[in-house]
Amino acid sequence: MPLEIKDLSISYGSHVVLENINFSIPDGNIIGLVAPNGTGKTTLFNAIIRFIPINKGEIRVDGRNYRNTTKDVRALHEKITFFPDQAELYENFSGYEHIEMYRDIWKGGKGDIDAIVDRLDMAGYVRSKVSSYSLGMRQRLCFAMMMAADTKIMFMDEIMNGLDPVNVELVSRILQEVKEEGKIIIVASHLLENLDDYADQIYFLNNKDIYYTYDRKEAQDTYIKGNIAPDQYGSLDALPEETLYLNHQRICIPTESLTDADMLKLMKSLQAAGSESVILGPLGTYEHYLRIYKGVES
Amino acid sequence: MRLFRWETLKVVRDWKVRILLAALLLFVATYSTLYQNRTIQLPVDETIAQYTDTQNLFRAIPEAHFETETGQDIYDRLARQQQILGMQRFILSEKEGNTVEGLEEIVSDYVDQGIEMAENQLYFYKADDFESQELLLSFMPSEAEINNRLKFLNYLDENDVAIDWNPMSPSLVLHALVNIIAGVFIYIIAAIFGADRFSRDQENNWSITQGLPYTWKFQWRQRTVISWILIWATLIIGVLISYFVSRLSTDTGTLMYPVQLYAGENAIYISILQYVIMTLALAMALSYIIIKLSTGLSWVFRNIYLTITIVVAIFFIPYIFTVVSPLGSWNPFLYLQLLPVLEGEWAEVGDVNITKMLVAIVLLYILIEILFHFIFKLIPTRTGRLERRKN
Repeated sequence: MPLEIKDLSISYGSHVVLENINFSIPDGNIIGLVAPNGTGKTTLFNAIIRFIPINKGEIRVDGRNYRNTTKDVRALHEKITFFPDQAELYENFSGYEHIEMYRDIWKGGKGDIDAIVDRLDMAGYVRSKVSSYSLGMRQRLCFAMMMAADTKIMFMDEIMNGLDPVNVELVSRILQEVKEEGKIIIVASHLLENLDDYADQIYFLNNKDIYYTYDRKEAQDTYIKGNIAPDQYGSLDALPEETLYLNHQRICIPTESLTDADMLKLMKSLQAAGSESVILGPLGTYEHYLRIYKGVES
Repeated sequence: MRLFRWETLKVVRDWKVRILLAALLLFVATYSTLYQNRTIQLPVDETIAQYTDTQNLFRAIPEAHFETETGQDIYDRLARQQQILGMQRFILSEKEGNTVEGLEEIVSDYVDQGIEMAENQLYFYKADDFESQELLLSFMPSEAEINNRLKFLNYLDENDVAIDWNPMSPSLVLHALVNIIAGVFIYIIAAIFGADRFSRDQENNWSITQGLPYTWKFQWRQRTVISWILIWATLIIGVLISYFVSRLSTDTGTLMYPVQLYAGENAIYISILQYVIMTLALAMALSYIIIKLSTGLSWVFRNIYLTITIVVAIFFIPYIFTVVSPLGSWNPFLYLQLLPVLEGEWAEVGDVNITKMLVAIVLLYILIEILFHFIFKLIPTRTGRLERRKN
């Protein structure tokens, strides 16, 4: 397995943040990392890249265990890049210089910067100083820097912050293209439905561990999904036993035991109960998030 | 080299660095101009003072003491000394060199006369049977000073260099400027330059600079070299400008003019050119260590003021050895100041010399390397702390 994490534990003093984390990610995969704020997403990134001390555990890339030595940490940083914080760019450097810097440092000057600039539609501003950039422009620049570094493993923390829908779609598409090159990309994002567009698996962090893994490649049950208020939920006719009502709003009705006529009837009922959109599909990241962190009402 | 370019660009784009370099260049380059505006004592004035002293000696020593054989000899030598001082005063006031053109037969040669006068003075120290020897010697320089003077004059004689009537001649101003640079000045510059070399990145650009595939030690060395090159390029350009500017206004003096250098227990004389090259080379070596320390401390503390204070305080460590014994001349901390070594201020400690200074610089370099070898094993966190790796 190209990226393997074994029994990783991190604590701040007596406060255990992550305990015995285990996972392995094969080449050419995008992993979504989901959790509410303060649950340990960034801590997990920081631990794997060894920006913070880890109490125990192993970090293996391509079978090699990267230990806690200066030599190993340096070698690990050859293979992993961490998404820059857009507030920490060099204000007196141009975007082009930032991309060039990452390319020079990680790829020894090899790599077509102009192709990255064109791909991310940055040509109009990339030669200006970063101090003149908007939030979205900075965020695209950070992404471009990661593309220029072109490492095997990429940690993308809050990658979609500040991006408009067009650029969210653009970055999502490029992520999928990069994945095809065999990269391992771990994305932490609060745009949960967007993760379903490109992530292969979603890790939900909870109780200091990866509580649940949502594998989008596996066959999923189909649900009728809509949003209704609690009083409307109570007024609905008898629902299948496995129906989920999440966060006083989201209703997910399993279709396995329903006939087509029942499904149509239920969809109409949801519409009548005030759900603006009623869709058919598997439980997505958003529903799993509500299920895990907000709880299920029956 | 792929990182070097970007580290250099970061430094030269920094306005603090630009302003510092400009101020440094301005100060050093205009030093000769500023220096020449100062009021200082000319050698001719010193000669007049010595002439008066000799005259007073004749009045102070009882006539009877001159009546012995030694007394008569001393009387003659003092009279000759007064005559020499009178002629030297004239030679210096004419500002032509070691003699006065057309009057060579009358005023003779400054250097020859100086040698004769020094030998006379040494004779006074041997004249133990002269009753007023104590009084006589109280008006004389120390024996060591006379010997040094003799060496100085012999240097002038052997190298055919004329006495410089002007202590503000370009070469002597250059000598003074180099001494300033090699003192606390280089510590302050090094401290200021290194003080935020890491802390700026750690505070403002943490996520961009933390995960680079280079060790901290490598980055530390590279950042040190960049600061060192910038500082010394500016200083050397400034020194050259200062020298050539002063050459425009004054054409006296020569870079071959002798300056005193402490070597073991005795002073030797070397040319200003040799002194400048040697002192700058030593200052460059010492400053490399200081910049290295300052840059390293900026990684540790992330506090400019604390780093500057610590680095400048290190300059004053040798003063401790004026109170506490340094336990011999091999103590590397004795050599944290360059000028006292060159000027022989540590003579009482023992054989403090330039060779030992070079060894001390190497030892200090190794000491800092070892210290930071362990420090760079720590992890600098975003919150400004250093944490030990656990696993």
